[in-house]
Amino acid sequence: MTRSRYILKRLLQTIPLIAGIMVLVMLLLHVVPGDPARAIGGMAASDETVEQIREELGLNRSFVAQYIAYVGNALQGDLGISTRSRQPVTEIIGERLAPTLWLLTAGMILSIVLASAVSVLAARNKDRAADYALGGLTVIGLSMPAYWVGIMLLLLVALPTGAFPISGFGKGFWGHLNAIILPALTFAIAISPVMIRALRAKLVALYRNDFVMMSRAVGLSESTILARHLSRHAALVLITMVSVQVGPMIFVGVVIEKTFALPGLGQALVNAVAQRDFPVVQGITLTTALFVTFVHLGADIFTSFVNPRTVLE
Amino acid sequence: MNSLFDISGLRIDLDAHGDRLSPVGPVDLTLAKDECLGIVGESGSGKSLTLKALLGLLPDGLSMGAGQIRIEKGGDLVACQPERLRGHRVGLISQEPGAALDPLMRVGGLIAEVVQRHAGCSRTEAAARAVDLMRQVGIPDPERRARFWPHELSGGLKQRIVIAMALACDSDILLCDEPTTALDVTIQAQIIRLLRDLRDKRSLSLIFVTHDLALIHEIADRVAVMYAGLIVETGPTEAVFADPRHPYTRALLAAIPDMDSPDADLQPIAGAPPAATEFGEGCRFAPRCRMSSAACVAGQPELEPTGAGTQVACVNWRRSEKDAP
Amino acid sequence: MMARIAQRARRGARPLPMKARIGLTILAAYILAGIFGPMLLPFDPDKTDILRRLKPPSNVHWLGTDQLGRDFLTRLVVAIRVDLPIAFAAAFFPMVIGTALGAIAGYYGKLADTVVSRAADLVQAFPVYVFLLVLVFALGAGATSFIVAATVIAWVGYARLARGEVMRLKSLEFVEAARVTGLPERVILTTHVLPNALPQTLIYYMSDVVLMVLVLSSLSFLGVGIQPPTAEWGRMIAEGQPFLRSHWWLAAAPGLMLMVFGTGLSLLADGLDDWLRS
Repeated sequence: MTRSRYILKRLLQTIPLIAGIMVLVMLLLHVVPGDPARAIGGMAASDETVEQIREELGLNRSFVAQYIAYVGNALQGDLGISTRSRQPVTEIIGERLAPTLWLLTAGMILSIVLASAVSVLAARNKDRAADYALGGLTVIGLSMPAYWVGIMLLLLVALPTGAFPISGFGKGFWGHLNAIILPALTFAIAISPVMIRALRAKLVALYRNDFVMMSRAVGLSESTILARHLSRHAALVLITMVSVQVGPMIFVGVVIEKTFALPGLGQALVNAVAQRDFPVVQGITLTTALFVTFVHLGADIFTSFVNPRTVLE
Repeated sequence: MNSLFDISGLRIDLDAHGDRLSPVGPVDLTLAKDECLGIVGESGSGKSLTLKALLGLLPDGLSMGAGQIRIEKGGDLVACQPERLRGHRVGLISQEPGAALDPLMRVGGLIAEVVQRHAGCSRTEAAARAVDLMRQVGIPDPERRARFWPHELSGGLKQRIVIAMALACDSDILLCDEPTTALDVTIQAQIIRLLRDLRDKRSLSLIFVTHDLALIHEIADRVAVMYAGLIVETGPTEAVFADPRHPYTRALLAAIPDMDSPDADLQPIAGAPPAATEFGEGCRFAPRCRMSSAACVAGQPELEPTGAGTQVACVNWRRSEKDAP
Repeated sequence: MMARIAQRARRGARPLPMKARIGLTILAAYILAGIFGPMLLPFDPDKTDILRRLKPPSNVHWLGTDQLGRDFLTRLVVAIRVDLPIAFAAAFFPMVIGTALGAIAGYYGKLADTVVSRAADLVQAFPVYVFLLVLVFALGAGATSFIVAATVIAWVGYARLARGEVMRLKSLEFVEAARVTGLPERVILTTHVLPNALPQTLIYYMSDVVLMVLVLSSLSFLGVGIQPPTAEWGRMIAEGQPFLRSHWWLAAAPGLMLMVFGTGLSLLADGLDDWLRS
């Protein structure tokens, strides 16, 4: 199979997946115990209000009809209207997208840098003091709640230095960048331990590999072996970790947005959940699910370029 | 003899706490210019480790505890660090061609990388030289195959790529660590023929490690028989094969199936070679030896000349097999 | 697992590694503090006293009081009774269900395997923790909905683990031998295969508990987990954040409680893993 055919196949596979995701998103409302319209309106709502909600969400129609209507509207960029603010859901998502993308991008870059550096250091010093120390830090890192790490960074870095805002997204590019540094660092501290575990193990195995011995035998330096050979294998591990961990990453992102009061999608989701604003919850859930799907897809395509053997399978 | 590469007192130690354990050594080897030295022994005899130690490529947990490595430079033998030999004077061909190539790089790129490092030329020039090297090691249609990934090549072609990588360094000494063990018999013969051709054309000197005596007979000018980390018999191949003096060498030769009389009894050697922890004071082969006597347990015998051009480390080498009790 | 441990003990095997012993000590300390702590501390964890709010540490209130005048140390300790049982339960149900499904899929293969594997794929294609957040929303905040939602998403890991282990064990000799003697499949699976797959599952369970306690506290931090006034570490961190400048320990201490617990349990899991492999 050629690579282009593989990519095409992967693209086609996402279509039923997205359809399945939309079913789950629709189903969310229906797992609410009792009358969903009443649940959204709240106990205090009048019968008319509840009826109006029912009408608005199309709950009086069959599930299939609701589904077709939702998918049809979604394809035209219409995800419904917030039951609280009356604002279109797509508009809310559009307004809230930037901080989330900043956080995820900066956080991801920082996680990969941190994980690579620590893993190489640990693997090169296998079973020595540095390896044990980094291993211990990794275990502790896995046990720290991300939001608490963020608060500790506020306490220990932002408050004493005054160099970083303690909340909000700042103004302009530099403002955004300054405001995202601590959240991104928090993200990296929360996410990199899992990456480090996988990457260190892979590097330790690679250093025992015959081709590393051969590269040494032909006189390549350790840094060349790392930069030209091991880096490719490490990239595959990292991209797989990003793909597998993207769900937890988004969740960590939501928690960090709340910690640093970043006006992103996660904050909007938490608010919508608290206010039982169903169309917004549905819209943001769908957006994150699509994001996850595309990250999986992107990771597979990336892998197919680096690892020639994936295309075979 | 005109020495090109000389190893004396090489000892490989296990990095363990407590008592020192040395799975290999002390070992002395010498390689003359344009010569092929065969090292033969059962698996676990330390022949592969010896080879790896010469380039400082011992696996984790093992290190070179003692010994001197000297290489010819301007007519003299000069001492040098094994790491410094890599990619200059000494090349390596390993056992598993499948594992020796980075699966994430195209084979042309793997060779070009070595060329570039060695010759310091541009990338395009290195790529062209890589194709040229592929042609020299007998890979058909090298321009096309340079774009192949390692997994797209057969075992024999992969081994040829490994050889091309070693040639890219312009080494004059090639260490071959069971280069044909993982290959089919027909491919094996082709690779041996290639190594012989290259040896003549480029005046390479080889150290060839294998457990296959027939192969040694075919390719090696001189042979060193290793047992439990020590050389027990060494000399010109013909002389050793014609009149083996060490009981272990004899047993090895007796264990070869004879093509002419397949019905003749094979005589496998009873028991297994000892691990480094089991090395005693005396001759390490004594527990398995049919000729062992009280003198054998007293101490490890040194190599001594037999007069027939060979050297043997056995107190009973003068006795023939028939004298065995 | 008990059988394996007993077997090791009989053999006079190596003692537990240091990691596992440290982990075990930490875990025991938490459990003892959770059981006896509240009896020894004289304060009601939920009793508010606005006049005594935000007091610094003193002889009476060793860690001071929180923003509603409740004894902070008492709340820190009482929260063990909330976070630990919920986390252990939230990982327990997925373990039982996931292991059962995975074992069935691995042992019988064919249709059972296809159904379980595809369902696992679908769950994994989702941003599971966001899904969990929304599920808790749909079911209403609280411990029960958290456990239900956790079960819906977390069974997948156990199922994959059990499936792989069972498929590996199934081909081993002693299972073949049991089959030859004519034991029914169900008996072979429950008495021969599963007990051998159990140690890895229990080790995975421990690391899953660490994850669950973090997710639970995160949801509470976001306001959709355990509801006030119940003492819960994540909630306490959220409540302490506004007083970071003046009363930093209100946010710091509950996080330390989480971190030390998670580290202890991870060390125990790692140590046991090393021990069983050695």
